[in-house]
Amino acid sequence: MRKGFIFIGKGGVGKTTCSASLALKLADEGKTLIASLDPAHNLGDVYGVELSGKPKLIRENLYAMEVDTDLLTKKYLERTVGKIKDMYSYLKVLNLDRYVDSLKYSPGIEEYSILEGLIELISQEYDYIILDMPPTGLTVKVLTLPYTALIWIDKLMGLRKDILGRRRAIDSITGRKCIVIEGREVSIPVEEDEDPVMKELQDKKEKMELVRDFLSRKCSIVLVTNPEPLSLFEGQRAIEALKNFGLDVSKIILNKFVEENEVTREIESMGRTIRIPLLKELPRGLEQLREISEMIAEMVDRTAEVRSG
Amino acid sequence: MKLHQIINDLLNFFEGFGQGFRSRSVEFIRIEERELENVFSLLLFGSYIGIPAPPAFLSLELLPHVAKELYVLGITAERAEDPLGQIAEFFEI
Repeated sequence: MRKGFIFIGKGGVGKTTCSASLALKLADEGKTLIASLDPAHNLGDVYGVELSGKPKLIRENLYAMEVDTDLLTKKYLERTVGKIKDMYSYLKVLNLDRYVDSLKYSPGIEEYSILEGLIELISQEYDYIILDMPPTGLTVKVLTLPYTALIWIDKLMGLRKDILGRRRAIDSITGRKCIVIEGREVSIPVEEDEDPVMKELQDKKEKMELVRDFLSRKCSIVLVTNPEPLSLFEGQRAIEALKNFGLDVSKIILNKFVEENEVTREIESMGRTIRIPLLKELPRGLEQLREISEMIAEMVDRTAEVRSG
Repeated sequence: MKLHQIINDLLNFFEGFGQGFRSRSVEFIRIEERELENVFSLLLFGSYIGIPAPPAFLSLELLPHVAKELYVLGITAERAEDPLGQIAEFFEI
């Protein structure tokens, strides 16, 4: 993959229209995928085609899809709870189906499901990948999750190594291989390469590093905002929150621009900004999006400069 | 009593004796191991008792592999009100 673009911003500012227009432009240069990760999709409406969870070719070199985040969460929980059921089958009292129902609403699960969707997307072979993200709050949580998770994973791996070290010492003297819990024999792994906890942590570490590298090296975060105070404030908060994790918003699109005023000047002082004027009617379909895509072309050119520089 | 039976009994006695020594010699390491496992479980599932916890997906995906650590956590919690009992047990009083 040559480059990724992540579109963030307050709900209703025009993220989907802007990202769909950029995708149209990038498709002139290479194989492009645009994916909506927003649970409230409207990418299909903007292109005027029906989309699903699988990439659909909508013109030469341009694939589009609407990721079903609810389905991602459901599949993720089914997979994980299946493993829990196998291990804790002796716990007859625990109603795992009801447990799954409540887990759906557990903090962090939706974010991780979206992140898993993102991991799958960035592993695919496209020249350009454009992600139309959910509104700011959820997006910031998704984008910062790999960073917080990596801190925890490193701490847990260190502690696990200490535990395995003690186990090896006990094993070498007493030859202990397993213990009995509730009448069930549970083996006690002593080596890192045979310990399922260590393997799971290593697997998660690799996944999180993959996303971190994508976010920090291969991708531009684009903030879309309108010339009104509320989307400006939310944009400022998003920039600040991402900066705490070393993530920079590289471009700002000032959408629905009418005239210069205090708010627009404030927005343009935040970083490199592209103005898109307020259009008479909402653009729909490939032809109408062409006009905006030409305005956004500047963004592609600048990205090319950064790459070659 | 036949001679080989006496020898067998003696061998079993020494074997048991040796096992006892080996077991005693690792008692400190066992306590350390249990403490670390307890901390590991507390870190993973601390959200149940209000301790800051890692992102939910980590706790959830490690849950199938930490049966022993949860068992230790349960026992430690049960004995938390009786620290003297734990010391007495260790010194076989």
